Amino acid sequence: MPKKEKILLKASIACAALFAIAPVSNAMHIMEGYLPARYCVAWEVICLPVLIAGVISLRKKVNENRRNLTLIAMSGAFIFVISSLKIPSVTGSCSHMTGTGLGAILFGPSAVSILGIIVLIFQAVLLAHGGLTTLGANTFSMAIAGPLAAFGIYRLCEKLKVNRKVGIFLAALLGDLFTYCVTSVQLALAYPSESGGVFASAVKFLGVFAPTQLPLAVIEGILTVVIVIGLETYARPELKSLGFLGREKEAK
Amino acid sequence: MIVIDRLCYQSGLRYVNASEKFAYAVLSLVFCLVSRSVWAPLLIFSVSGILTVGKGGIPLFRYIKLLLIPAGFILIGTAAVIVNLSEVPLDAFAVPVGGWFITGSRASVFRGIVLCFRALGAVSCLYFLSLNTTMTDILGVLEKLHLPPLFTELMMLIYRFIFLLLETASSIMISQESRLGGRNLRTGLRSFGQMAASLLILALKKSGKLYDAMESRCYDGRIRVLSRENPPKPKEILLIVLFEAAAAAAALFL
Amino acid sequence: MVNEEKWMIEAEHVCYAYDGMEKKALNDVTLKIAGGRKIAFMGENGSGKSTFFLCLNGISRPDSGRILIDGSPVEYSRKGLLDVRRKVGIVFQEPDDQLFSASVYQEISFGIMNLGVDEQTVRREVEQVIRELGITPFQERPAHALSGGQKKQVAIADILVMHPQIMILDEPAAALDVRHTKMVHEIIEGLTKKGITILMSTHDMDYAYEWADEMVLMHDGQVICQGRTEDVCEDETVLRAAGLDQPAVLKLYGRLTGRGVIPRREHPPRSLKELEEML
Repeated sequence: MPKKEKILLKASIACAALFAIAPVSNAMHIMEGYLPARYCVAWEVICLPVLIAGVISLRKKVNENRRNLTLIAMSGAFIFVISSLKIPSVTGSCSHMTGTGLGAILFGPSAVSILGIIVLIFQAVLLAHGGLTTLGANTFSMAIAGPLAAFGIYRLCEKLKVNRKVGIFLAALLGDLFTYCVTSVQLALAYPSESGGVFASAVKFLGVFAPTQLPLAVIEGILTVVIVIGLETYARPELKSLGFLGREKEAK
Repeated sequence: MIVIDRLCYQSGLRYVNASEKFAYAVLSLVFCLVSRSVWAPLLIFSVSGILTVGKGGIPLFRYIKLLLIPAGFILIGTAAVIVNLSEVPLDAFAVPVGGWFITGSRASVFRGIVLCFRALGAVSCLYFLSLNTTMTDILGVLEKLHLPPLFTELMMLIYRFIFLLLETASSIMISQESRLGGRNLRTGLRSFGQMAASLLILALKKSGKLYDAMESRCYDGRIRVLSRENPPKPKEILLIVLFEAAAAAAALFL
Repeated sequence: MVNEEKWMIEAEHVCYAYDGMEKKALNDVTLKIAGGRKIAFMGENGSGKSTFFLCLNGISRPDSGRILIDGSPVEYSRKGLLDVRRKVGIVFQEPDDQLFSASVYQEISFGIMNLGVDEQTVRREVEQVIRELGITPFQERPAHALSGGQKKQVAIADILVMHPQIMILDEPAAALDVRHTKMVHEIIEGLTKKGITILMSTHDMDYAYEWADEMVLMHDGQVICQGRTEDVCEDETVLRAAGLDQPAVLKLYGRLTGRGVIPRREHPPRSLKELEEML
């Protein structure tokens, strides 16, 4: 390979690597216009039944007690605000919580699916994180798959009588990691590698985002523990009203 | 506190009928996505930018700064699409590493470039909508599209509540900073977590008061409000139709 | 003496305790308020003023006793509560606890739309109240970009647009600067001219003394005194029991008449201006 090309290539790879570590550490939103049209539609169609179920479930809760309307709205606003604030990070770069693990633990996965898509719309419009065409894909990874995983692990840890703090940490951490994997797969499906197909492409995307996503998931795990424990220490009655939203199965 | 929100209330295009703006943004997004070459996205990017900065009056340097937000994702993502690790070298470039090659084909480089243009074109459509239309007006359009009322009512409340909580969060964090809550990573994380917990508790208390205030004004299950209407103008609709036809042609035939 | 006057607000032995609290927030509150009057509710924080207000429009339901508005007892059915809330409007102390929409126009239209009024009338009423209360300069701004005083104007407009018979203002000038406090007082003057019965809770003794026809002093969930402003304010003992002090004008008047600087009059001055005229 001619020398000039070699230098150019090395330079561009270095650039890409630099950007991987530098401030692109916002959570895993696929940005606007990044997915081809048919994939945008496909993910939206996949999300639809879950969202419809979510709306029905929230409608039921509001009908049971109309006061829940502002409660649910505040919860949604809370998720947005938490995910928009910068959290202290090791590299000093700009990091944000996704809030999906916390949301799943506090509000339950069906509420989080609807609140999640609303938050994603606001994030796309107000913060330019994610997009409207990629709303379906992002909703699936961040508002449905991730929270479900987080919730599932949280419940599992409860059943196995794992230490509560550890359970919350694992739920948030693995929820985040699951979101990150799902997003990588979504990208890989849309952009399969010429040499290795979807699988190789998924590995590429996983690798490229790993340096930012892995530490972020750990930090989010820690923060989620601090928040949930903080809530339980200071706000049992308020949490009960929240428990209405997400933990009906638990007899309190 | 939120730049895009502040800017949209000052836009010169604020009082153009919201459905028109929404239709323009959505149609342009679609044509950007289905385009197979760079021409349609380039056209859309240019026109959206001119509308936003020229007619909307959004300061150019701000617009450029906003365009940089997705820039990182575009660069990494596109690099990930173009670059492969394979045993077989492809035709655009190939760097031997051990027994393998870091390589990419001409076709994939071309696709990567088109992807960049498409993404930027799409982002410009999104910015056209968000920088020139208030969230309240966007919600009005969603209502007209017959989204479930619970959904749009929640969005209206959440939009207002976001700013209430941002203010509260800011006060708490300032107070924490004043007490050296951000000294190192450990205290920083703990402060953030405590702030979040306090924020949620305050948010829940406030939600009760806000509901009382709504009930006091005879809230009966549906949030019924009126907005000032900016009726659509035939000239604007014609321009939009013409532009979208051009974009469609560029997307499908160029 | 036969009193034919129909009372606008009546409370009979109202008791109320918050969920899970043993101590009663309202302990046997009984009072009667005539229509069109200006009533100042005064007392320390936690004396029960806000709690009582929330009972008046049915948000809180007394544990015992009853409330009558315009002669009819408050009914806690859906229709009954809507009826009460048409008649009784509360402007909450904190506008951020009341404003739920980012758009000023939408916010103000909410109450009157809920009354089932047709769209054209709603627009007319909303635009009129916006003009009346001086909201026009900032009506296009989002709620989160408004100052405290401007939010308060919108909060008052919210209620005024519904044309209630009774308007309750919970510490309307709290946290407002001088200019907006004056503006709020002017708005309240306008309300009285429309014949609306006004209940206001305030810590500003001087303003209450000047403005109110009657005062209700509350302490520890009970009404310890209700009467004409002049009578209540002359009674230093009861004022102290409510944690209050005499209005400055009255104190000065007392000193001046005590030293013989000015003769005692039948009606003591209600404001600095009146005192000045006496000198």
